[in-house]
Amino acid sequence: MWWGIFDMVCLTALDKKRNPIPKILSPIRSFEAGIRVIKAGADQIYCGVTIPEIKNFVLYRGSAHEVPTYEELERIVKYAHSNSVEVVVTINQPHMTHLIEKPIQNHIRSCVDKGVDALIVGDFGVLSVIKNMPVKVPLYASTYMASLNCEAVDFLRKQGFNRVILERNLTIPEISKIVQHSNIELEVFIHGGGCSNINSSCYLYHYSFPEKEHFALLMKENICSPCTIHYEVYNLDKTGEKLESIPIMDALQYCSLCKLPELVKAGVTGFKIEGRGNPIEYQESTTRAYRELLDLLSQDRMEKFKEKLELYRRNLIAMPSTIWSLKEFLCEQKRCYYSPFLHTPYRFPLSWQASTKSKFKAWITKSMANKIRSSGQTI
Amino acid sequence: MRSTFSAQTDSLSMLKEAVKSNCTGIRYGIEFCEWKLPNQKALEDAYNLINHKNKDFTYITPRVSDNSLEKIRGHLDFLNKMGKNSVVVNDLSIINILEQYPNVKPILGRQLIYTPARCPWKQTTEYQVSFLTRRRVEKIFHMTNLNYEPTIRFFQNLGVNHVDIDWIPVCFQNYAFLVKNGLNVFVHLHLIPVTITRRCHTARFLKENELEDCSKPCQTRAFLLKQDIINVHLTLHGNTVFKYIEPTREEVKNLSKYNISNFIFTMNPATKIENQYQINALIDNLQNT
Repeated sequence: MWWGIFDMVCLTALDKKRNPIPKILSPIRSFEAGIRVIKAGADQIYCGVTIPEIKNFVLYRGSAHEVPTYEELERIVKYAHSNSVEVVVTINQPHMTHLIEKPIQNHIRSCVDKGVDALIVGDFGVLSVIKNMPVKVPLYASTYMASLNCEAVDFLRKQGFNRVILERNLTIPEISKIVQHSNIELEVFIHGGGCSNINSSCYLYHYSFPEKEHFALLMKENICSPCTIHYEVYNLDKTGEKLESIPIMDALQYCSLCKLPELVKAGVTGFKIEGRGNPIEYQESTTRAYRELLDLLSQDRMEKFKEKLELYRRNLIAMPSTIWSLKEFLCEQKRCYYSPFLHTPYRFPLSWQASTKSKFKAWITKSMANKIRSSGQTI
Repeated sequence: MRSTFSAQTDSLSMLKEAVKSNCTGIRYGIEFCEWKLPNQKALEDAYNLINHKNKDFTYITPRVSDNSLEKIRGHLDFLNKMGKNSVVVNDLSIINILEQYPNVKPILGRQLIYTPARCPWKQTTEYQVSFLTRRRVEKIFHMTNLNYEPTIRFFQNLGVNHVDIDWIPVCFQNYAFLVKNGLNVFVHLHLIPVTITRRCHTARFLKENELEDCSKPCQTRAFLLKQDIINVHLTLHGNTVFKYIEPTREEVKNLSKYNISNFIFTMNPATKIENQYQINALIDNLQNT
């Protein structure tokens, strides 16, 4: 009998190794979002929580992207745990100085007291704070650690991290290689507004973007992020010739739906959806799409997978505050997370822009939220 | 205190110019782009050229993927055999493998040091806040992540005693903390990295086909990026966007108060320092007499 049980355990382990389906990590910033993404199929949820003593110190994400209080975090944790879902809190500080040591310590203690399942850490100073505290919680190395290779992952493992979130700029073969040579959990980003630059070395968005100028840009170009705006490009030589006006840094809206089979094969532990500051409807519908497709992959139902994939490409909203589908906004623009980047056209070629303008006029007559919900229901 | 000035370059022809100049040391290699890593022979040639001229040699490495790391292992093997050498480290992986190369000492590169003041925008807080709060927030922004003793100890335990930082005058007084805690500081003049990508903006703009086979147009070209609405001018060189700040002799003197006197300047089309005469003019202009 014991051999039978042993065999079963081994076979299950082998099966898991053969066909591991990564966990979906969904972003939230409120209790309501927590309920909705869990119902949509998230395996883990992640969030930031406002640190009361230093709420004005904003390096990357403002408090609008965070769960506002520890009480709300506690409610989220209780609900998530009752549904066997883990809650991961990002400490969100790639920067530690003695001036913020106490607030960070208090923050970590409060989060751990509320029962969170793991902390995302992006700085060795923050890591030392945690190591010197009487708390035992798994630690995930943030993209701020810029892990691009096996040795960097190994270094982070030695420092006590349980999972490493890989840098966004990697290709699928590079990810596969890291997975093969590492004995630690690895996580990758799969969807959302993303960076064309390396997260930990990008200072474009770390101070709050200038308010007045931001407003002017919004009015003029309907865009808000400094890496998506147009720059006039001049030759930096004696001629000083003006070459073009383009969004040369051109941050991308990412999607990996088509790449899911390859990414699953790569063998990572977690698939992360970006967008803590996004509307709940977007967080929910994106989670649902990935859940459904991953479930179909785990059942080897490839025909159904392809069918659903096409439906999502046509119906899933590509970006919050727009009405464009993935197909219109990303596929037609060749904006695919894990595809070669160099040949992607710069954002909004003129003909495309004209068509989107007419769509924008149509959009103002409809409620965006209803549109997203209804598309979710159709699917 | 007399300042030292070292040239940084990824080109052998510029390195030859630097060898002929009055600079005290030369850094060879590449700081930001793994596709531009020198081959083994180029590194050996550079090493021999500099070694015969009694200038300090330092090898610079960027952030790397696994493929490029293999190349760097060969470079470290060579440097380790040659005796005591220093390497600028911008990737955690290289710190991880350095224990295999006891003669090679790490210098912590700029990409492993978080410095919020590299941000080009003016505003520092999200909200309309009181004057005192704003001052406090600004104070934090003007520090690096090394302005915290446990972080310094962490890196010192890994053998790091030298660090690279940027020429950002509002941060100067906070650099004193690093020196007090036993770190030797090198300050990079002119170019402050604002953002870096592996998906090179220059290669894309100039319609290169593949990064692996890039024709490296950044060896001869750089671009100015202007955004009038937000009133910002940036410099694009290769895969990195920089903020350009012109150093002054006054500020060099100011830094010497904090026992900081080692400066690095980069030779490339963005700084327009490309020959021995331009190097000597820069040194004459900034030397703290």
